Amino acid sequence: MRGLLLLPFLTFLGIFFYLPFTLLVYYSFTDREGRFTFENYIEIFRNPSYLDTVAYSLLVSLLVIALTLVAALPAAVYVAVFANSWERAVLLVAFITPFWIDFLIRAWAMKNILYFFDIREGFLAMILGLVYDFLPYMFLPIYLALSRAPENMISAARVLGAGWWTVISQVLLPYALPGIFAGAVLVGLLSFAEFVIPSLLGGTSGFTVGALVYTLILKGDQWGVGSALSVLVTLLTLAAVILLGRQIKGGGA
Amino acid sequence: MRGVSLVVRRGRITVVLGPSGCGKTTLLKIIAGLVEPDEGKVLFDGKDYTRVPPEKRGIGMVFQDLALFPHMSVYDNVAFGLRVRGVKEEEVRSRVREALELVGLDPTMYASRKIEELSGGEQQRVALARSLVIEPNVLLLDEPMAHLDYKIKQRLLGEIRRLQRLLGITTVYVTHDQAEAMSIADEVVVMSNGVVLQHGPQREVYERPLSLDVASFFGEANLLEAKFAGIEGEGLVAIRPEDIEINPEEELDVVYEGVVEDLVFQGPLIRVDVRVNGNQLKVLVGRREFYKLGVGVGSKVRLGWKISDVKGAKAAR
Repeated sequence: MRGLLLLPFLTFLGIFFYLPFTLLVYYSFTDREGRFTFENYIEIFRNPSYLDTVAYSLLVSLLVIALTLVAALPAAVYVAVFANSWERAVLLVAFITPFWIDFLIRAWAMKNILYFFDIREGFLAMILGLVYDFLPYMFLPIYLALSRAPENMISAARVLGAGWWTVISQVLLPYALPGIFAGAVLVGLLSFAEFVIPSLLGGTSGFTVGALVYTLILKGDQWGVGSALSVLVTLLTLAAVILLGRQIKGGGA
Repeated sequence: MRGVSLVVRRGRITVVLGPSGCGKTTLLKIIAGLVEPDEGKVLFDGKDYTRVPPEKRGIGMVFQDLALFPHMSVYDNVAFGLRVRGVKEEEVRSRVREALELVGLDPTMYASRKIEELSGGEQQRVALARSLVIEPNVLLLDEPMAHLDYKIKQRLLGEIRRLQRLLGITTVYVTHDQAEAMSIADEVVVMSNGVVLQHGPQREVYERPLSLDVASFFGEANLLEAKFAGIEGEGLVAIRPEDIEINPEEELDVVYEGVVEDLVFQGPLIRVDVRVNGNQLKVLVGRREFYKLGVGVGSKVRLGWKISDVKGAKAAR
């Protein structure tokens, strides 16, 4: 009877995700005539253009991870460690509010702003768009990790003889590491699978895994290979989420 | 804080006692260099340290939240201050071991433990070892016992005192708890609202408080209205609960009659609350003595004390 508590939620997810996904798995293991086959998966690893796209998407993800980290880490340190309580409240609201606006609207706005600076669709515009969109996913985990630190941790390090550089490299960064890791996995996953920003801002550079699946299934009528690619990406995501869960449990000080 | 001038004696434990928010933690942070004073100076051995950053002061400090590094082992926590000084790893090893032994932690058992696995008392010891291992000139303790049980607190206070005697290290201990101050202090500094009310040897501050605030903050005090000989008007004086005698046999300077309102059993001492002319006076009596007196709630008693035991009234002394 208690299982009924789950019913509304599971019904919703079931109809809109798990049933279609099961279908996707089915398509990935069948050929055009509906016969069982591994051919779709083999095709992905045989044809270098698929793996090239995956590698390109990975590269884009890594770049976005690096850039969001550069922007988010110092900000998180400031808000969690140095800001007084009202500064912290103001900054958190200021950081999070923009992301309540629907991201499609923000992406369109960004396109126009980039035009103003004479930056057209392409690699740079796409990267900027992805960084802008995923900043909070890097900021929040690092901020949360740092805000759990003992209040006087930095003072203690300083009194013990550590200059600022040592405080940052020996105390703050190692302490923030679980948060940095969580942020990197989140941002990596999101930008790897992102479809809208690359197609809107990427121009010819926007051919990432998301765009590839879209093309295969909706334009190229290659349901089998498209499904197989989707399943692989989903498995990768699942693995990352499990890894993330472990890291947060194990490293969450 | 204003007009605070404090000379801490070398090799002694000075306890700064005051209610929360009186500026005692700020005072400690100024000594450590974590807070820059708006004006005034910090001197060590006569040398001006006011502009010296905290990492160059050679101070040991235990914080209220202990501020241990949660992501490091016990060993790495204690080794931190040595490593940032560039001490060779071999020497680090032996000094960390010594420091852990000094605070009563077996190095083989504790070195690799995580901070979160330790009890409050053990964490306290690690924090102490971490601040002592660098052989500081001054040891600062900011309410380090705030979160500990009574028994553990008593034991650690005893050990801090033993270590302080052993190392002869100049120590400033900040607390709002007068029981802690009683059990550890050589010297007591009573602070309130950012000013020092009195500074002196522990017993002197207790026996001869300069004001009623000091009398009631360091120890208990009954406040009484009194007329002063030779001075116009009335004022308040203080008398300590243990200086009042119930049904005194000898002749005393001051004697009142009253009725026992309540008895509070405190173990070795019994607190007898007596109503006298509309005032309630608290009297502390030793357990054995109390049984001899044979009084109970409602008993009529005489209270008496010596005029020389009255505090905070200069005219009467």
